[in-house]
Amino acid sequence: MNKKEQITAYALNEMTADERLAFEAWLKEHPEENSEIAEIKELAGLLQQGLSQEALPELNPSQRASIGKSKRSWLLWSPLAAAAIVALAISLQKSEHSIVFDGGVDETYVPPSVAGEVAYVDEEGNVSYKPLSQSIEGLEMVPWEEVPEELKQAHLADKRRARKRNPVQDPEPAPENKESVATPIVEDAALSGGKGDMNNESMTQSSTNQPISNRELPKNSNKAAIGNQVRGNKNMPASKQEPEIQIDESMSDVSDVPTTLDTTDVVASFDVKFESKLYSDEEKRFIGQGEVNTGKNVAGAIGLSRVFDKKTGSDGITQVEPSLAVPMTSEPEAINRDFIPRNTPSSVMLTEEKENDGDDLFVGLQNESYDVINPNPFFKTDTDPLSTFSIDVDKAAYANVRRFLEQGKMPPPSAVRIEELINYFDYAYAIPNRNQSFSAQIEVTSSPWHEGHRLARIGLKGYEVDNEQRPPCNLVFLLDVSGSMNNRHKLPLVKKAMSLLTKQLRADDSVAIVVYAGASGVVLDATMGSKRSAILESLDRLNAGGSTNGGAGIEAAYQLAKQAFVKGGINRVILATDGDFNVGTSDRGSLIQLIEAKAKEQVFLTVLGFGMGNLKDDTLEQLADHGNGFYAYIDSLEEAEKVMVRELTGTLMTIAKDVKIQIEFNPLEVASYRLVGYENRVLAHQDFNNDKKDAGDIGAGHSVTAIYELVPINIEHDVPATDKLKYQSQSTPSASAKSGELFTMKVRYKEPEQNSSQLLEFIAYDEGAKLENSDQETKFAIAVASFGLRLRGEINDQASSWEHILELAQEGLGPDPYGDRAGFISLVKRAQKLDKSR
Amino acid sequence: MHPKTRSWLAQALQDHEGRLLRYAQSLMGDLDRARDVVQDTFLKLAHQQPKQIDGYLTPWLFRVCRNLIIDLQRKEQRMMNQTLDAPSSEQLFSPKASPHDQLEMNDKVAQVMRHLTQLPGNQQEVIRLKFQEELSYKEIAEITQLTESNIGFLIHTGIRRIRKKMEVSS
Repeated sequence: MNKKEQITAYALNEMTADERLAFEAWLKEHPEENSEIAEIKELAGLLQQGLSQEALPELNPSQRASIGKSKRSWLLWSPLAAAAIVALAISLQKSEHSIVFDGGVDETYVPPSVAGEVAYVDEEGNVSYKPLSQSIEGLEMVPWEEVPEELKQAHLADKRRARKRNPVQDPEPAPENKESVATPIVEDAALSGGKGDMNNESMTQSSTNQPISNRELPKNSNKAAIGNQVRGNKNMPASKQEPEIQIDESMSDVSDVPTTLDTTDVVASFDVKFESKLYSDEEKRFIGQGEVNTGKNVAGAIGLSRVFDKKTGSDGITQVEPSLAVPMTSEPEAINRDFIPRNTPSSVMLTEEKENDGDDLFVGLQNESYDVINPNPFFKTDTDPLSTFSIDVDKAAYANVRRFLEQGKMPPPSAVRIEELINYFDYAYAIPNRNQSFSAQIEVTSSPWHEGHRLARIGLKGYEVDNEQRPPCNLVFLLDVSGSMNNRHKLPLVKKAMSLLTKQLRADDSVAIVVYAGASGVVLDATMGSKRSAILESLDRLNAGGSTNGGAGIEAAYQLAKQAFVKGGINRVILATDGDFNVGTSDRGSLIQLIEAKAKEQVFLTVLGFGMGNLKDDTLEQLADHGNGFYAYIDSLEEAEKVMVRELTGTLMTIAKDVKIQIEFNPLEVASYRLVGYENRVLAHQDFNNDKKDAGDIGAGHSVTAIYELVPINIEHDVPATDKLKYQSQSTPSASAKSGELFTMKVRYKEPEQNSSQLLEFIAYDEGAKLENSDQETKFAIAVASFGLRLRGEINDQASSWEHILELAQEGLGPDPYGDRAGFISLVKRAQKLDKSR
Repeated sequence: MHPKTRSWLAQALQDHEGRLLRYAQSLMGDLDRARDVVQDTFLKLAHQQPKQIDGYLTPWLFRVCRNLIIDLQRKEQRMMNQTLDAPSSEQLFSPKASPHDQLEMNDKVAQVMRHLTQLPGNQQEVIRLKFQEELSYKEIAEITQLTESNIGFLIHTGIRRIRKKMEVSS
């Protein structure tokens, strides 16, 4: 080694003790080299920093599984069982069920819903689950002979049923078929892999045959895993046949009928038996059937949901019949509406095909849940002159809808909360001064959706606070590190989002970190913002693993927040999770009670939703709402940047809480009206003046926009009317009604630390403005609303064509400093393309 | 599989899956092919006796993974070029840096990363092993089947080049 190389080796600490002594002696005589050493060290630090930020990719679950399965081990799972897990994911543990686990050999199809979960059967035939990261470890593998008879039978029956359905179910198998031709070659490659001694020739073949596109790839890998198993069938002498051969009638099918290999063709249909007591925590629940074929029509999955009413349903075991995988052509949400009683809290479990995001490709089914949305109907002004709702500054739905569209799928209608789409964007409303919490603006213009209708756009804007001027924070991060977070869209993104946030912290802020998984624990006690490296270090140490027990974690987090409470400061628990939340002994209801109680003690909750495939959108939104908080969905680093840096004070600092809006329409001007979006924010009229009733909060700089569609009195519009009252006569318009006012908007809100509300009033007039002459903000907001209504299928192409939405958005683009609105335009184009190709 | 072996394997998978994939991806440029190779690496590991590899696991995995990639790329190269000459590892590896999250990097780090991608493949590789995987010269030598002083030279040269480029650009 020459001296220069030695200098490098020394700087990088790559010398033995002797070498170092000798070198240091030399260095004394050449002190000028010290600067070089320092430079090398600096560069080494930069390299380390840059390289450590590169993502750590993951194997596909089936690939991992194949590793655990090498040397005839028994990983027990099946698409059928997996699909059933999807449906029962929340409360399986105690249920009696007849889900059957397969020998792990058929399509080796690991749904992402179980993203990291493996079901396995122990010697007593008990079924349990482990996160995938632990699936190999401690996996009790059971030979087929030892699988309890009833499980076997039920499983085989399931398989037969599934297979019978398969050929019918795929109406357009053409593209997949082509790929099946390549099967034998690929299998060979897998064989060599399975044997463990690499056969280079076939390896090459496999990679040259390796399809490039995302769609094709999983199959290849699937086949590799299958081939692994088939090997036993083909190559082993009969006498030596191992249990794995007996296990599976499907295996012979696999080799006989190549087409069944195509997992993307496989429709995971399943029968699930469950006891209705499972749903004791909620009155009604919808179970989506796992009947999605290749995700072409995700909405179809919802359409197939069935409703189970605990009250009217049978007491005993309820059988869900698998629906046939007929491609859905009707409007799915229309079907939903038939089933769903209005204003009943309900939720849909949606199973959908895994998106091809190139990373965990393989996996087929997903498990996300959304609250059902029943669009607000038109109300007649003469009988229902009041409209009351709580504001909502959540933005999660937009990022979530964007994720769907970017993956080439229309979002399920129930994921489209229009108010969150609209409020995702910042509107240039007048910024209030400090003696006012927020300003209000009302704009009335023509409706693009219906000739003659009018749209009223209401805008509220909270005052803005700079990061430097905000009060000090006491933040407690509650991070979900359960197995389901072990995905590049989740924990790594959480870490990045948090490191972005730590950059925004001031020396007088404090941060603590609590994690929860199987057990919860404090990772970082309250630490001042000046010790950024300590915070980052503890973030670095986090790993995903274990199951979720949110309940204990959330209590620990609130405890810490209370200990470090800053009077007059921002005291907040920030929950980062995919929401697959097992709250331990307590149910969701008592969790909400806890959050509400803590909000009263001025510790608020911010919820950050991460990841996909397991997103419990409905739970998360609910939690944030009850904690005077804010719910954002973070799907990318850009989004993390928006929430954690650009809008940080809004994310953290509530400037007005329990903000409610009540509008009284003038019957002489407005025949009927409807509120666009805010479906789950509608309040009872009497709650407007009830200060005990919780409502939405506005953060610093947040703007809130709501749109009403109004039918003027001179326009024909069919709104179902109620019968005339028998004991009362219809109320007559007052003198004020002749004022020409369109409506009066009342806003109630509380200062963050007050318990009694203040009232503001605003009056709106209709000056007959046309949409084309409206301001940018109005145009853009209406473009977003139209987009949402189109996605939900509430209006059609005639009412609002994609082209028109684009035009409106373009006209409403404005300065758009962060490109958010431009992003919307490209999203509309995507939706347009997807819609046209349907 | 013996339960102990199984848990050993699971631990190895948990500890090394991401790192190996990142490494393989940097050599092959393609994540899905990297996955196949890493899967095969672990399949090979499953057939080893833990005793024989203990204390040596990291270099073992990287070395096996690297050899699989070389075999694979050599075959591909041969099929493309119709030549039997084994290409040198410098020709084989044309690493493409995986996409970084530019947002989070300060300018200097981003610059360094850009310069890194312009180094010859073998220098990039050892620099990654050194600074990304935090392996010693000795371990890197075991993985790449080069001598330690070779590694010292490659890393020194790579670092010097990056430093020069940094000087030029600033």
